[in-house]
Amino acid sequence: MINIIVALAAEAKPIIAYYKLKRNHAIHAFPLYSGKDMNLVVTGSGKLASAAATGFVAGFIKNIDIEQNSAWLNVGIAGHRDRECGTAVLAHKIIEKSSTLNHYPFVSQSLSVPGVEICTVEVVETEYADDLVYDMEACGFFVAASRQTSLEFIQCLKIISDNHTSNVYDLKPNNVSSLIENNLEIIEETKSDIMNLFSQRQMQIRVPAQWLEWRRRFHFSETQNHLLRNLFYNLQALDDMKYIDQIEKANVKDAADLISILQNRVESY
Amino acid sequence: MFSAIYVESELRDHPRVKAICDKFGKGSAAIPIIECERYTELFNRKAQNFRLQKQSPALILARKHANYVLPAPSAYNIGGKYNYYFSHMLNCLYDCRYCFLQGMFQSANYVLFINYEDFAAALQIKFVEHQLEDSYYFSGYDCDSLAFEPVSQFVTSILKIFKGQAKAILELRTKSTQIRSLLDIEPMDNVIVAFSFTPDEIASRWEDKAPSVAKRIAAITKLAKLGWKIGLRFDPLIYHPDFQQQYENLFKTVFSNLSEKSIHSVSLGLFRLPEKFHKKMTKLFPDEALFVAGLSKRSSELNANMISYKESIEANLFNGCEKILLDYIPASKFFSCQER
Repeated sequence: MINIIVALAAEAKPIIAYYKLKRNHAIHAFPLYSGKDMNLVVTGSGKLASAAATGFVAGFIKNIDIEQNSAWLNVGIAGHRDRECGTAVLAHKIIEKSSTLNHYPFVSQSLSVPGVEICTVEVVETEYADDLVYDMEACGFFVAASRQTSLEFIQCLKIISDNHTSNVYDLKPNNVSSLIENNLEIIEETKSDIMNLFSQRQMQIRVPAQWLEWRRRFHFSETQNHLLRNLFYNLQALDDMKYIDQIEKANVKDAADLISILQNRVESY
Repeated sequence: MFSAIYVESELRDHPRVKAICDKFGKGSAAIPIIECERYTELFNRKAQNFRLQKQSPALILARKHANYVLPAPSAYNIGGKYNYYFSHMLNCLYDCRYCFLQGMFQSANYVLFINYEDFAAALQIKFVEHQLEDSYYFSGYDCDSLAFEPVSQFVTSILKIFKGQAKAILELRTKSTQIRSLLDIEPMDNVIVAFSFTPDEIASRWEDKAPSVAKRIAAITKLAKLGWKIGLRFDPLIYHPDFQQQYENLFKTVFSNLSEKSIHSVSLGLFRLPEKFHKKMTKLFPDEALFVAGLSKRSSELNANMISYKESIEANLFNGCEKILLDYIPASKFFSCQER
C-alpha cells in the first residue's frame, strides 16, 4: 500500500485520473481517494495540514489492516530561483525553516530524478534567497510519515512551478495540474521504486500462512501473538514448517500450550 | 559504490573530504553530495532498515569529537594486559550475516571519521602512559581495518604514528585483500595484520561481499613473504554438524600456506551477541537459521543477557577447534578470545 500526499486539488487531479482512484465519501476529514494498493489524500497547504493528513491516513489504513506497514510519497509543486519550471526534483534533505531541524530522506540509487535540498517555509517564498527548493509541506509530511514507517519507504517529489522569471502568483489551477500531468511518468517511476523496496521488505517479513490459521483457533494476547509469530519465523528459518502441519490440533489446549509446543521444537535444534 | 555522500558542514573544506568528494562526486556517474550538521542526524535515527540500506549504503564524512581510543572488551586481546581499540569508521563494506554491527547500529551507512590527527594524538597519549610496558591497539572493531583503505588512507596515516613505538602493538583486523598500503612500506615489528576466517562453506554462505578464503590466504602469503607479522582470527566460530571437518580443512589450507615463523598469534572467538542486538538482527532477518539454530540465552552473571550457542555445543565447538588447531601451532601462539 502506498499513500500519496498532495496539498492541492489541482495537484491531485491528474494523479487521481492516472491511477483511476475513487473518492471515499465516508471520509470527511480530508478528501481521500483510493485505488488498487493506493490512497491519495488532499491535505490543503502548509506543513501542519500535511502532517495532520498524513497522520490521519496512517490511522485510516491501520483500521483496515493493522499488519500492513505502508509506503509514503509526497507530490507537489515548489519554487526555486533558477530551476526550469516543470522539472521534477527529489528531496535529499528537508530543512525546516522555522527550526534548526533537518531531515534526510533515503537516497535511492535507482532513481534518476535529481536530488535537492528542500526548505519548507510558512509563507510563499518569492525571494529564493538560497539555492534551495522552497515548498510548504515537505517537512510536515516527512516528520509524520517517518513515524509510521521505515525511512526507505518515504519519498518527497516536487515539480518546479515558479522561479525568478515565473511568478508564483501567476499560477492557476490548470497550470498546476499540467505541471503534475507532465511528470506522471516520473511520479510512477518514484512510486515503483519505493514499492519495490517495500515489497522486498514485505517478502522478508512474510509470516507463514499457518500462523493465521492458529491465530483464529485460539485467543492470543498481544505478547502471545508476538511470541507465536517469532516461533513461526524460527521454524521457517530452520526449514521445519512441516512440523506445524504435523501437530495434532485436537491435542493443543490453548494459545499457551501451542507456544510451549513450538518453543520446545525450536529449542531442540 | 555509495548511494550518496553526506558531509558534515564544518568539514566541507577539509582536504580529505574534498579529495573523496572529487573522486566520487564528479563526472557522469557522480554521487550526490549532501551536507548535514552532524552525522548522528542520519546515522542514529530510528526507523531505518539496516538490511535494505545495506544494498546501497551512503558514505558519511564526519568528525569524531571524543573517545578516540577506548579500552577493548575483555575478550578482545592477544595476551596483553593493556588493550585498546579505535574506530576510524563505523560499519563495514562487507555483509557478514553474523556481524554484531547489524544489531548495534541503526543504519548501514558507512561513517568515516576524517580527523585522523585526533586519533593519532590520542594514541600518542596512550603510548606515553604505557611507555614502560606493552600496550595493544586494535583497529577493526567497528569496521574492517583495510577494506576502505584505497579511499580512506587511514592505515597509511596511522602506521606513521606507530613507527618506532616498540611497546605499542597495533593489530589491523581485516578480511580484506586491500593490502597495497602495507606492500609499499617496510614491515613493522609492532604491527600485526590479523585476518579473520571461517571455513569456506560458512564464508560463501554468510560473508557476502568479503573476499573468498582463498583470496585472503593469497594476501596473507604476500604479506608474510615480505616479513609482516600475521595474526589469524578464527572468529566467530560457527557451528555446523560437520564443523570438525570444516575447520580441519580450513586450518590445513591456511597453515600449509604460512610458515610458523610469520605467525604472530592465532585466536578462536565465540559467536556471542548481546540479546538486544540479537533481537534486532532476527527482526531484520526472520528467515535466518544462523540466529536460531543451537542458540540460547545465557543466564550466568558473566554472560548475562548474551545469546550464544548452548553450552554443550559451544564447548564441543571450541574445544574441538582448539584441539585441531594445536596440531598446527605451538600453544604459546594460541589465544582464546572468550570471557573467562
